[in-house]
Amino acid sequence: MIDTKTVNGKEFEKALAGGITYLKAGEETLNNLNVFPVPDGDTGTNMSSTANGALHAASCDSIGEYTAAAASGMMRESRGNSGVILSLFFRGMAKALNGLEKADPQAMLDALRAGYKGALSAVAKPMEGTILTVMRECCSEDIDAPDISHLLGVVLARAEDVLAKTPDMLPALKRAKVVDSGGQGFVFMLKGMKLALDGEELPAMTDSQAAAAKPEDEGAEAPFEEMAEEEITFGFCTEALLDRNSDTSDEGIAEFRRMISDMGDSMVFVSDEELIKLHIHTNEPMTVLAAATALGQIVKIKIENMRVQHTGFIQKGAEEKEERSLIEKGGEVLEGILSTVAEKLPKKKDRNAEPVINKPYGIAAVCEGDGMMDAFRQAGALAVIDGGKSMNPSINDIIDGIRECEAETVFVLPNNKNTVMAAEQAAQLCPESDVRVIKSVTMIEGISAAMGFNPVRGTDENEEMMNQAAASVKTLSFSRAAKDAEMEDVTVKKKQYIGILGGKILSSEDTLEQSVAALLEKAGEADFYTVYYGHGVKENDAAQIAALIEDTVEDAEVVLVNGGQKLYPYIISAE
Amino acid sequence: MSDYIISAESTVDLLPQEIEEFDLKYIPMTFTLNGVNYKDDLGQTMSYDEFYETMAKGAETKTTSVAVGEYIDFFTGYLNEGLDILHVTMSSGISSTYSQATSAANILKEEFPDRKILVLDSMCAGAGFGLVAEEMSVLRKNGASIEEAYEQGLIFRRKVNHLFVPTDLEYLFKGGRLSRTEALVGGLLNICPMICIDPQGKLAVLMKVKGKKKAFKELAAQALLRAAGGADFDRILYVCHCHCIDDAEKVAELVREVLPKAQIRIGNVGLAMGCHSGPGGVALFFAGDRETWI
Repeated sequence: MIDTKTVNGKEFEKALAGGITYLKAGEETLNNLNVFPVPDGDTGTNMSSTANGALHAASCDSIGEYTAAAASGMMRESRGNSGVILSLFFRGMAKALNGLEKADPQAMLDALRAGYKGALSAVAKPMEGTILTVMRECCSEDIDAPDISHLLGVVLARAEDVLAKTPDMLPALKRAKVVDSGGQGFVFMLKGMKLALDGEELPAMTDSQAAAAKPEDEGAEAPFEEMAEEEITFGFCTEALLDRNSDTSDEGIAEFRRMISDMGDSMVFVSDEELIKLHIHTNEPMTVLAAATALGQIVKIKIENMRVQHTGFIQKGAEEKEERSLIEKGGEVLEGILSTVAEKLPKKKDRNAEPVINKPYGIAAVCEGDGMMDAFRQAGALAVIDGGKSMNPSINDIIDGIRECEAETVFVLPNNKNTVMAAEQAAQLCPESDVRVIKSVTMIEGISAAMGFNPVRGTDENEEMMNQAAASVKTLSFSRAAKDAEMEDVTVKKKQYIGILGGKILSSEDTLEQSVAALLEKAGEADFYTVYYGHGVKENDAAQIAALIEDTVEDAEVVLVNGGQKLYPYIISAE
Repeated sequence: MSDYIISAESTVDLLPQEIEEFDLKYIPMTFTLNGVNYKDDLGQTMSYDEFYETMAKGAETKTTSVAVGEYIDFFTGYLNEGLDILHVTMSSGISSTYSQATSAANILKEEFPDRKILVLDSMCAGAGFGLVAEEMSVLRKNGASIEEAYEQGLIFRRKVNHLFVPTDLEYLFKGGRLSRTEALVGGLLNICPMICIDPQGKLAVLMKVKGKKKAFKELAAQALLRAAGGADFDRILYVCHCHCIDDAEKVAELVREVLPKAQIRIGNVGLAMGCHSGPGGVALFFAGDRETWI
């Protein structure tokens, strides 16, 4: 038994690393603990990449110093509500541990309590049944523990107890028959920390584990047409095993992961200190592999054309030995091809460069989809921040967007309720500009807000006008349900077409047309509609939805825009 | 004793009968259409319809400012008759006519030391510029001296509202009246900008609205918000159009609902301005209560 009467910086680092590993192992599980019957859950990914930020912290003996560095690392990488809350929890802990070389059980308990307070401070309207409840309840009562290991044991048990009760606190969880995903992530983290502190083995990350946690119905993620015709969107099953370069940072890996996640689906990505394993269905296998070479040396690759069975870069079923020899033989050719492709990849941004200010105003908008990015630029955004499918960029991404504006005042359009907090944190980290975060929670609201901006007005007035403009437009989003759910206003059956308005599912019908018609009625009449059709949706089909609106609403102007967004095949703005 | 004439360039965009109604004199601007020069005589030589149709077919257009010599010739005739001159120019933020007219006035003052020649920069354009000229005429009719009228004009010009919704910004960009960034709006999202005149007398985007229908509603809403006396506004309000009378009538109807007492006049966005705005688009011009533009 390892002595944990007190814990110093290095020991705490070991524990935290265990927590991060455990959290990463549970990433997909967390992503799937999703209350919404749309597969937009990315709590696991968000918490995991946030926690990863701690790995930037340098080792040191002082627990106070180490925790401060780890918390700051997490802060920079934090994304999503749960991620931001997690990073603030550690920042709170760091404040309590400040000046300490090592912590005894009481100091650790006090630090956990301070962590909860730190996390609470950032949440405008705290709700029971969330990660915050778990953070509070796990350490609220006094614990008489002889060492940190026991303390964490008790804290973990309490956290698990309260997590199991979250469905009773939040009706949305109960309906979806899940526990709170953020709370679960926090429990994973505590569990990993306890295991690592005790010197016990952490769960191995395997493909099968990650694969098992994938949603059973992956088709729900694909746009409608593809489901109907059962086409393959991404034709090449691409796998690679890499020897991780010693200088490859976790940040670099996270960045790579984000980059390729937009290039395909069915992604499974596992990495540890030495190896990186990648599996993805994509149309750009060479680009993916070229990008991967920056992270490590290729040990093994496999590219298989899923449209043409049994053919491909390497014959399916080939012995591993043969694969190796083929790579060796073709190594030079392959390297040549990959380096050519690698040159075309986007260059990393230099975050240490001095910020430049050369204009009074700028707008930085979080969005996803090529067409949506164009739309934002036309509406006046100087910088578009690629939020990825789930619209959850990291704080660093937002900072890059703010700096790209090179403006005295920058209005940030988060365009997702889970990005507002990250945007506010990013604002604090950009002291060179007066950053105002507009309360736009959909891309539609963001475009409206951008249009509300006027360079001749002052900053405060613009902020007000932009918030007003954001609130003046209605966003109607359509997708297919991934599972049955009993919502407040409507009963959702798996695979039905659901329509979302004001963050609530208000229609669920067997056909898209019915769902659009039902939601249009609930939204009330408007003068102007814009139909943004998503990635993989055919223009002709979208035109029919536009025609449906013209037929339903008298005298309405309807515009069709190829938004290219991934999560919702159709988003309609009514204004 | 009205011993002075009130003159302006033809870009006042008033009808010949309005020029007569307010006893104004005008000096024609020159515009070029497909390489041929025309004098802008308020649509008499070339009708507005013909002009815009030719332009819509892709004709190259440009305007030429009035030369100092032309002003000298124009002013000299009236000075020889023993009349003083209050000349109102198009906004100096849009055209160089103010400086040419001022130069002409300075030259002529030597030749006619006893005559008064005052040049007022209207800071306005189109029928908004016309409203400033009309206001001078009304003041003269009410007995104001040339100096008094000029002084009042300096105040009045700030109260004239211009609200213009063009449908094709490419022309304004080509004419250098809007920056590329401003001209880029629209397109993909069908964004219609509402253009006004800023305190420097230049065109500026007041707001952006999606779709023509909403833009027209917004024109009426802004008119109610800005018109002198609000809903009781009973003065002249110009609804001008660039070869789209149907749109102008729709807007006039919307304005009539909110400003029932307004003297609504439907007019044209004239040739000189039209060279820059292109076919399509509706503009409102009216007097407000305050020196306000946004």
